[in-house]
Amino acid sequence: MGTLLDIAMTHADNLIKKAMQGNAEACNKLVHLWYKRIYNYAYKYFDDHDLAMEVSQKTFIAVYHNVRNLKDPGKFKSWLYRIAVNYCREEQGSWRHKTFVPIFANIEDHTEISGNTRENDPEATYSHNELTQILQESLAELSEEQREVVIMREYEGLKFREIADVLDLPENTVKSRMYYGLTALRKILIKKNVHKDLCYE
Amino acid sequence: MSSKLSKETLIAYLYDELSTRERKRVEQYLKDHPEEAQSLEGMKKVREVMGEFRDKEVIEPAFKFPARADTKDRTWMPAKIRYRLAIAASLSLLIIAGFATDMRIKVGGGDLVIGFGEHSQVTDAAATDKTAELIETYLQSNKLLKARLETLETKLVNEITDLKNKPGAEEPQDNDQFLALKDLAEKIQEDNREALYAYLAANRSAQEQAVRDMLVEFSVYLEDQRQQDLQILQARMDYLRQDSEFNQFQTEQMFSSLISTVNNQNN
Repeated sequence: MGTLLDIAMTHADNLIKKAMQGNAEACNKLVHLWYKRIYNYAYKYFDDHDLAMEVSQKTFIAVYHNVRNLKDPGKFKSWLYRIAVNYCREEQGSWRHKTFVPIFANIEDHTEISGNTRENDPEATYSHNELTQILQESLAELSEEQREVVIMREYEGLKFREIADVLDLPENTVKSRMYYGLTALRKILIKKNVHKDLCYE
Repeated sequence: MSSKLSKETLIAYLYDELSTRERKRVEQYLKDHPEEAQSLEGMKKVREVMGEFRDKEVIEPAFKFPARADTKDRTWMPAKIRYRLAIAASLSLLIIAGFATDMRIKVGGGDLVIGFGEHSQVTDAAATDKTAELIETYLQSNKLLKARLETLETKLVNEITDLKNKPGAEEPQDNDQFLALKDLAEKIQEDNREALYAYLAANRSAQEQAVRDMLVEFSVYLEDQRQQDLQILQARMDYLRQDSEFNQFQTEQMFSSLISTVNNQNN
């Protein structure tokens, strides 16, 4: 597996180098390689297909226009996510004005608002689609700072050091956000009766 | 261990981003602090539940970035160099195709011979040589036959002369009868010779016609073979190109899938 992954990464590195030299075809292939990742980052961030598509397209257009300014091919991944994060923040700003979906910075503030149809039946099991929807809603209830870190670490597999690079923050700050993000998620999931084993206090 | 570990250390432990030494230290700490261990276990459960939120499949939009106007590409090359490079590339392709189809090229003796598959000894030049050799053999046979006839004729004349000059031989009673017989014998001899010459000439002409027909058939066969070989070559080249494109597509799909799923495996 390692060898195959090495080959894939070498292939990706070669594409990045070609793209840095202005090769449009390499840029197209990079889109093919990374589109799903960026889309899923944005989708988990917004819970909205159209916004995720918009952010993804903007991200790759920015990549096409700016990849030649990238100094180190090894920094491509962090650079790519940084662009995506910035577009997500930008869209989040305009989206918030258009809609009234609450983004809760603190789960304690939210406990009174969020309802739960299964409160009286904690043993009830959710279908996978329901669970996915609840998890998506749970992510949306995190603060933007926590949500970014949780998605990048939990779903995109970036190391804390890489996330720190993307967000231009100290690594410990990222770890701290992750810690509080997971703590908040636990409380949200308990409140939604997703899993009784989460209750440990 | 009494000193409280930071949440940063605990979260790094949860995501397996600690060194072996630090990990052991945290494990010992969690043994000493069950409430922290329970808290961390709760986070692990959260991760398990969050893991149920799978990636959404998406097809990237079908747009292609255009080639840049200021891209460093080969257009800076003078047309003359590009033309020569194109010829070199074509020759390289021909050589590769030659290897793929077992093509043979031979230059020598003023001839250029291009063929496919197993080398055959029969070529146009060889066939011409063979024909010339065949014709030469017939001519030689004719000469030998003519010489043989002349020898026989000489021998016959000599024998007749000997008979005539033999001492004690009776004078022919009728000299005119003898001369008539001799003339008849010579005439028969001449007729036979002409008939033989005519036969040989006709035979030679027929042989030449047969060889000519054979050469025509052989050249038609060579032409058909060449056409078939070219078609096979074309088919193989098409197959190689399609196979190459398909492999490239599959590889890129695999790499894309690999990069997309590797994160989950890292977790």
